[in-house]
Amino acid sequence: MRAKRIAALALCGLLAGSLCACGGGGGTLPPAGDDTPIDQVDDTDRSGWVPFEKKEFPAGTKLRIKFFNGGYGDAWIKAMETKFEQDYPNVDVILTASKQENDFTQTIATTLEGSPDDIYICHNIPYERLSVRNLVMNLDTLYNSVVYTDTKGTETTDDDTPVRFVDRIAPSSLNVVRFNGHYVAIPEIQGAGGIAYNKTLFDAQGWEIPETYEELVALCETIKNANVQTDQGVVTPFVWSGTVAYMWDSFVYDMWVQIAGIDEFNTFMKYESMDLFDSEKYPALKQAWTYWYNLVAAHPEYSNSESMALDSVGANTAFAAGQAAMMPASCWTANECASMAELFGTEIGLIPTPFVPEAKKDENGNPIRVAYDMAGKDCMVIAQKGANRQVAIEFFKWMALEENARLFPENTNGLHLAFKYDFDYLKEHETLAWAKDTVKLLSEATRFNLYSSSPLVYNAGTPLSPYPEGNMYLEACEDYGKSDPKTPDGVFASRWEKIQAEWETMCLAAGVTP
Amino acid sequence: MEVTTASELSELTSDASAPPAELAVEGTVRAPSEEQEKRNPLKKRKITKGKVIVAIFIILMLIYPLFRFAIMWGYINIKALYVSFTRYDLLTDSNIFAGFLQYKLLFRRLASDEYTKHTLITSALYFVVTCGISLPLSVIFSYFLFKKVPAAGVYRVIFYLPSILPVAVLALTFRYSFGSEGYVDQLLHSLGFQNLPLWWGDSTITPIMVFVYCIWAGLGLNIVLFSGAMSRVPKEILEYDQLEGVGMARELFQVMLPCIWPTFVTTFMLGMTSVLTVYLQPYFLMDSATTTPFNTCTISLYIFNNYATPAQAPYLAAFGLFCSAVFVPIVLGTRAFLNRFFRDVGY
Repeated sequence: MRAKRIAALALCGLLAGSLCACGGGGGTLPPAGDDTPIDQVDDTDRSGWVPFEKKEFPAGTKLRIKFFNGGYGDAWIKAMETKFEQDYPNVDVILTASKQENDFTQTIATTLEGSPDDIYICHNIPYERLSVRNLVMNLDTLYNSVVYTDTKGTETTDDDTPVRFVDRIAPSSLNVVRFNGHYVAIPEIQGAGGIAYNKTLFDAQGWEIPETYEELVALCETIKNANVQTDQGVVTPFVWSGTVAYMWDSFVYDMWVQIAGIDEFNTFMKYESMDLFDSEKYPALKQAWTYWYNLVAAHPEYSNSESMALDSVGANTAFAAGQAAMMPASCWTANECASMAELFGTEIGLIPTPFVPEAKKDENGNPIRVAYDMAGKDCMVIAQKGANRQVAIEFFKWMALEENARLFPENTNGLHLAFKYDFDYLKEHETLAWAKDTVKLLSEATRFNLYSSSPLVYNAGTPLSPYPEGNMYLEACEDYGKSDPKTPDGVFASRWEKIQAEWETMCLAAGVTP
Repeated sequence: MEVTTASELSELTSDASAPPAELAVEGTVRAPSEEQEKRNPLKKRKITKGKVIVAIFIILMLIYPLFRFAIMWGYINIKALYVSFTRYDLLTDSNIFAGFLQYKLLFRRLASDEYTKHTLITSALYFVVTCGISLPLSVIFSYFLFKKVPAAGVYRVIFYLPSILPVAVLALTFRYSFGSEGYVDQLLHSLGFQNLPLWWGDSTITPIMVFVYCIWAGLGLNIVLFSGAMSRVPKEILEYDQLEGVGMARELFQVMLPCIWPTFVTTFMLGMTSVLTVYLQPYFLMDSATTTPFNTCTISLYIFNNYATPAQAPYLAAFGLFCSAVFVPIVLGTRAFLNRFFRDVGY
């Protein structure tokens, strides 16, 4: 009887505590991410740049690197291993490849607490949490270290100008790796997406690369009417994968930021108000999605009939085999398709997302080129308990040197590290169509990614995204022409309804006052 | 005399098959009486020593499973319960008590979020698929194999083969058998079927494809279990059936099924739990996609796919515990109900 009373009292206490907490749980916005712009050295003229003096390490020093062997392959890191060992004869680089994403995400904290490797390279490394737990190194010293010395002086001074590590990072990648006022990781990739196209087919048929949305629509109609027959059947304008339908994000987000402008996009990514999801007040994403809907969902004949049923390998194969002229793409697409493209003798190029009529214009009246970087959160970290942290720091400084950074695009079919490249040099030396197109796009575009420093993302059980209900590409295509289709109006009204209903709870669950 | 149920048959056979009393104790050690023990202290010490050794053996054998149970079930579930009442705070890398917030969010989504609703419906359908289709098929196939139909050995291998292949290989083999490049479509085309559906790209067809795969891949193990149970049914019963001219259907449902009832109930229970546990099959068949499209997501796949950082843990813990709280009583109730039948037989 007594035990029952005690249990009842304990349950009452738990219930009361829970109910009290229901009304609370909020707080102020924690100062986590840091969006303050960084002043970087002007690198337009690199003449007179002298690389830093290399450190000497005792013979037998080892540098252990564990990397994710995925879409970027391992040729680039092996090339770096060879060259680093040549430049530092006393250092032995030991590479460990892993295809298990979990090694870098869910179990990495345990690994870092034990006897870790020195460097970890992957996407989705939870470096913010690891830095809070002091498991990854604070890299402020690295970011402030001098990589080059600019010896040519300026008009106002003859002094040498230091080019720091932070000056070498692509500016649009810096927001990703600063946390709580410190640099805790090194961004890995600067990528850009859009639409991959079969250059071999385009050249053979004389199809032009579209610059505007209207031209893209006209091109699709031309391709459809051309009725080009191959061994694989009739060529359709597009092929895409139903299981990775989010690849359309590159196309849609680019149009969104073309219309909204980068400032409005950055405001959106702070998730400070639910009004950002109101497409009456902020119509740009809905407009962009509508452009996609009118082109793809409303024109099933423009897509390979199996698209929705294809997985990513199936879509890549169909594209490389010439079953379609175009495919939604991110920066790694060409590298993923490389072996199949070689097999089918296909050359792949990249079409930057065509401009929509509402695209923001620069002072000369030209539409502003933007590029969504789907790989923007891939990064590299140094383990706090790594045995050779100083060698790891030296490795990254060495990697930031232009000639070493180039090893990456040379071994990945035109992907680029998040360093500021001499694009003029790359434009001259690139041979692959994809690599050339990518370099051109990166040199012209303002890059953006979906990284958000909002607690509604990093503290939340179900982190916010521009599409809190899922991206609806599949549903729109599947339901088109049926009695209750997923139209842009319906999709965005439903999104707004959901946000209105859940905003307060989502904020409280993320520790933010609604 | 006409025998209608397995219990009557069991009664008939029990007299004949029961060993005589003197045989039953043959070979066992008769326990010494107190007087005998007093007279022989050496023997008493021996028995005590034997008991200690047995106790040590039992303890040693139980340590690992108990420890494993305590960690993998006890600790994890208690922690999940606690975590479901918290929210995550990155700046302190800790969970802060937040009452019913996660449950509030969960109930809102259960009421209005289409994806969450479809996830629950798809998971619930696994009960129908596993217990309503796969299990009866397994019993029927096992019975035919037991009755030694022609080429029974070959069928046994065919049925069991999927169970010994890695699930990833099997799933991809199945997936690529369908579609424009797959042999199934080509076969159907050659038979005159045109306008075939998008097997892996349709919200109605695709979940059915996943179910079909689960049935195909899951038959082997069940058939092995049922075949083992059927082989233990006394031959006398079956010979009696033969003499009485009992047909195969009647023998299966009125004799064999009651005889293997405990195995059936166990398999049924395991089948029911698939509602909460299935995730690998849709995971591999749908290209490991994080969004698991076309109504193929299940409860555990939803949890598996959405857990990336501790920030997601509180909501997912609430989701998982809610599903368990609803479903576990149903499983236990069903077991209690099924155990009320055919108590007096079992092989």
